[in-house]
Amino acid sequence: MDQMIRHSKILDFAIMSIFRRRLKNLSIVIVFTLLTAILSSILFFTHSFKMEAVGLLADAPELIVQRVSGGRHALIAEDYMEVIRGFYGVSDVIPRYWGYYFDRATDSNYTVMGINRAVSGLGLLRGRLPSQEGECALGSGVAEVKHLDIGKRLYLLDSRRRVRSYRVVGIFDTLSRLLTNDLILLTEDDIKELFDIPSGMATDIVVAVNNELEVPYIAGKIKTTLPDTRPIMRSEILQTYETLFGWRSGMMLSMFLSSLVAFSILAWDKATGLSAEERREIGILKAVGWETSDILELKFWEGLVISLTSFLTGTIIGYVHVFFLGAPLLSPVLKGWSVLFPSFDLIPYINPYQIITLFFLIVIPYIAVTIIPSWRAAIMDPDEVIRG
Amino acid sequence: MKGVLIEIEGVSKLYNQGMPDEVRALTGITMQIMKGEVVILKGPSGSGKTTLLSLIGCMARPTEGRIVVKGRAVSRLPERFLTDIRRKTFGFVFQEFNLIMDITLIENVMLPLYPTGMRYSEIRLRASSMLDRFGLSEKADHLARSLSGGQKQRLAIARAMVNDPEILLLDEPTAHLDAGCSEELLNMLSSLRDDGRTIIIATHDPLVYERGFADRIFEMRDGMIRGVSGR
Repeated sequence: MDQMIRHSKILDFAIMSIFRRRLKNLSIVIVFTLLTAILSSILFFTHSFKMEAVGLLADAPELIVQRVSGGRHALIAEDYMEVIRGFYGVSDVIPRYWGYYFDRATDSNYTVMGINRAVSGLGLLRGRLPSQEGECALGSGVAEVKHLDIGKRLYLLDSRRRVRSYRVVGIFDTLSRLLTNDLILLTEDDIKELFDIPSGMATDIVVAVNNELEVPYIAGKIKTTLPDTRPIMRSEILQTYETLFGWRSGMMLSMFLSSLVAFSILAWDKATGLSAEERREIGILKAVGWETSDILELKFWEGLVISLTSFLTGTIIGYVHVFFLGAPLLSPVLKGWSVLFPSFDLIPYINPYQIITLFFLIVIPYIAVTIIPSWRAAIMDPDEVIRG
Repeated sequence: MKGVLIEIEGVSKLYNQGMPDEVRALTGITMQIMKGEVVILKGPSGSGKTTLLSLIGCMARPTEGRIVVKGRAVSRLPERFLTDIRRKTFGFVFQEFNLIMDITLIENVMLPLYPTGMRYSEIRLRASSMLDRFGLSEKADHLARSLSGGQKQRLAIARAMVNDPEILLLDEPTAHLDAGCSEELLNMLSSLRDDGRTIIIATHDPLVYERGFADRIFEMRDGMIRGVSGR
């Protein structure tokens, strides 16, 4: 009990000391908060983006077959479906019709897709799916930038620059909005006309397989039988996302490295530079009967309060920046090509290991650099410390 | 007086030992201080008074020799034990007060009691009564920097006394005081002597050593004791 009282009084004194040197400590808190905010923003953003992609791909087809011509994705003949359907283990083969549409008016890139049973996992916010020619359903991002709502009309230019008009019958929403945010869903006939897809051709083919373990085998068989195709497995797309966001966040961290180093030097200097006044104070405390361990405890509390405050504030700022403000400072670098998409909000996914890593990067080193110079002063005789 | 309280045998002190700027502050000091005695270390600046006071108060260690406080040789004790002795046995009043100027008077007086197991309310009460005793209770919540020289001196004594130490050490206590405040301080010290406390004062102020309340006066020069006078 006595020990608890002792610790709480030293903590009280530590808090009092922090407020006494409020200018110095405030500048340290600002620098560390900024540092934490930047680091946590990068970590939150990349992790959340990756998690969204991974979550959405859980509903993605196990196997997609594209035709490749001259090393590029080309339209695929629907006849290929019959060949693939003949492979043992294939349960369904569905053609997909889709493409990208760049809207100059809003400077955004939309994904336009033909509706059929290959389109799954799309939650509807309101309205219904298009069921006849001249109807469309929109992702909420598209509806937002085009100022559209159910009952209004969407105008698009087809590949021959003719204006086509579609009545909005539904607006999509999924938990993440990553997949449907930029989506325009049309009937199969409408999309074929819009993108001038010849009859008997599809953008790609979705293959459903009875046994998931057989996917690589079937992919290999398709590649052998239809050499101008490129079978893409879901696991490969996942791997691509992992690599892409790992690379992007790494690049981002590298870009911040120089500022991180500058911040760290400043913070280190601020934290470790024991002023003459602080040294004298340590001497006084020792002279009036404080033990070296009491002084170290005092400095520990000071360091903990400052670094924990910075860590928590910085983490909250990072969270708000990414999940409430849409990471305006990071998205141009981290989203890459997707900045052409209508904007969307990330769903907060937090990796506890990242938070712990951040804690160890910010709090522990700060406490260490605070304690070490104080320890050097505290182990000297009080007379020597006071004399300076 | 009831026996020897502090024994000093052949004590020397070098600062920056082995360096080009080595300074010999004390040479071969030998003396005894009795319990309840008032001792004055008299001498000009640089004579080694402050250094001797620091060694007696366990604030520094001698380079050579032996210091025994209450029968315990303290010269080579580990820091932890020295802290304990400083806290329980000595009250130190520095020449420059060494107060923490940007905390209140009561917080300054509470400082020595923070690392003890006493409750906050208890240490505050004790510090309050100490401020009251030295006529500073009205300014308890003022910052130390707002005080006059005389008030700072009283505050420094209040802080030194809050642990109820057996030995009070004062370094040039009148250095920053005018004649009136010095007189007031000396009256205060007289009353502390009457309590039976051992008081050691380092000074070169005639007002202090000519007042006649010291039992013995050690005259120091060039880090050595040149003479002793006393009752």
